[in-house]
Amino acid sequence: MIKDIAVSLGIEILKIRKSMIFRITAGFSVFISLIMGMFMYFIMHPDILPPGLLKTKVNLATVAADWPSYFDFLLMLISAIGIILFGFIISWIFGREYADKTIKDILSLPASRTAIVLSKLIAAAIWCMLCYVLILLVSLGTGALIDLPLWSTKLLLDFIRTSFIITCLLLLLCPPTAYVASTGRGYLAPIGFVIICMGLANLFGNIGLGAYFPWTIPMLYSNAIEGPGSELSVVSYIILSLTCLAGITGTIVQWNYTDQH
Amino acid sequence: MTEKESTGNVIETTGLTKYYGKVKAVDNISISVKKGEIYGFLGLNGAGKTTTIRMLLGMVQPLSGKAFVAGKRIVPGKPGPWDKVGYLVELPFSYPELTVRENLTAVSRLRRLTKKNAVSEIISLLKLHAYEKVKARHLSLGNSQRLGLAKALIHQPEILILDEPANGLDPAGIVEIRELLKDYAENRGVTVFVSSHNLSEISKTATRIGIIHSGFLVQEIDTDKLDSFLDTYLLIKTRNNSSAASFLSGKGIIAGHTDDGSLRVTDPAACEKPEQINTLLVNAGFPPFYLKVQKEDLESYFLKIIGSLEL
Repeated sequence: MIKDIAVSLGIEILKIRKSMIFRITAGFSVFISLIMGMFMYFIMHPDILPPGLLKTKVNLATVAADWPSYFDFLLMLISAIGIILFGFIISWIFGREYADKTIKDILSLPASRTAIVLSKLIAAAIWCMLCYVLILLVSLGTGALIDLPLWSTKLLLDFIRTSFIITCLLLLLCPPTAYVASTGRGYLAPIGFVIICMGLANLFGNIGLGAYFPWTIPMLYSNAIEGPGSELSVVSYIILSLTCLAGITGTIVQWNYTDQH
Repeated sequence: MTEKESTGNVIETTGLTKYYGKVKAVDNISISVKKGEIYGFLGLNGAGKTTTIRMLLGMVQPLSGKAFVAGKRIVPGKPGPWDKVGYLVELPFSYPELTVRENLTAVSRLRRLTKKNAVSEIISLLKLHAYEKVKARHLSLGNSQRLGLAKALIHQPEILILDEPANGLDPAGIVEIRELLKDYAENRGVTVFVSSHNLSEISKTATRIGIIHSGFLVQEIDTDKLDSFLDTYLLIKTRNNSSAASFLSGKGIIAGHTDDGSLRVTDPAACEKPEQINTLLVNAGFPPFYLKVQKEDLESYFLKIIGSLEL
């Protein structure tokens, strides 16, 4: 099984590496990080902006232009954008086999279907982690370039630890999307699913039940949503883990035991 | 029948049945294919060919019945004899962003092939040299089909299950694939299960043909005995076909009219001795200017079989 997963993972990485979508997600990660840095720069230097909506927004921003605020801002960004970005990645990895009609080529092979599913999930995790690292590096580079004040190594290490945990929490949300992609046999259903989950995450967060809705939990961890009922407990992490487990199991069952047309 | 009860046929199904809702896709199909045999699975589009193939490959769970390949019971989700099987289902699709060589390398790795030049050999066999660095998305249908076949053959399988492998190929390509399959079966003992909707084409490749219609296996024919199933008839053209037909009718010989203005006599004695019919007609003042003993063509036979089921 391990050998099958390793071999299949190599193929998945080859497919990802050669795909246009890989470059698009990498470009998006860089772009979004640069935007955050630029926003901080505008807060530091609001006078360089011409009068208009952007200048008004910058003037109304309550965020201070320093490293602590920048890191807080980035954590919120990672928790919110991550749901969409990671959801998109997992939708492509699973949905493309149906959209490109290549699924039938990987169903009756000496490598088990379970190994193929697991290798796809691992490949998705690697790809998502790469996007996270890219966001991290470009954000830090941009912050250094615009010379934000109040830097400290401890602050940086705290940020890396928290953002890494948020990324891991987001990864736990990928398997249910893989299941929807496998059941929906394409990209549309999982992307729709991710958008609905994102909407529900905000709804549950705002009504104080976010700690019990898996897609809100990373946002609560990053303090993107605050207020009553936003404290995470052991139950929150159990719910998130069970959601992940249900997604993995559902996808494996879907690939192994349902009719594949 | 358990795994151990498989009768030694390389491919075997017993009472294989699959419904999609109330639609019968495959109904109680029992077939057996021996080692080295080329079994042609013939049917119109939607007859149940692909569903049967998917059940043989463990992609679709039968409602009832069993399928065995290489002596192993095929159950979706359980390990199958897939290292021995090469397959092609419906239209061949490959990863569009990968080149021909990369697609084949991916298959060779997934199949854990240890032979170093397996990819180069199959590229050579399927004449894909010129396209090995071309991305699959840029291939023509014919070359996509060749790539699909290359993926099916790369591991030198003992069993080939191919769904319409001639799709999209030009006439030269069709002949090439036909000869390739024959070579695999005759010289390497490979068992081939190949579906098609073209009887004349499949009859040139297969050693045995199973005709499927509306999910039923209608008939199985050994290709070398196919001729005996085909009707023979005598075509006659005279200057006055109506009167000639009436005359023959008076002699107890039924002559029908064809669309191209001939008389069609199916009487076996007339077909065997057409010169006697000629003499009769000449003496009666209806000398034929065209007289030909014709064998029913394969497509007509196929459509007749299918048509008789729909009446």
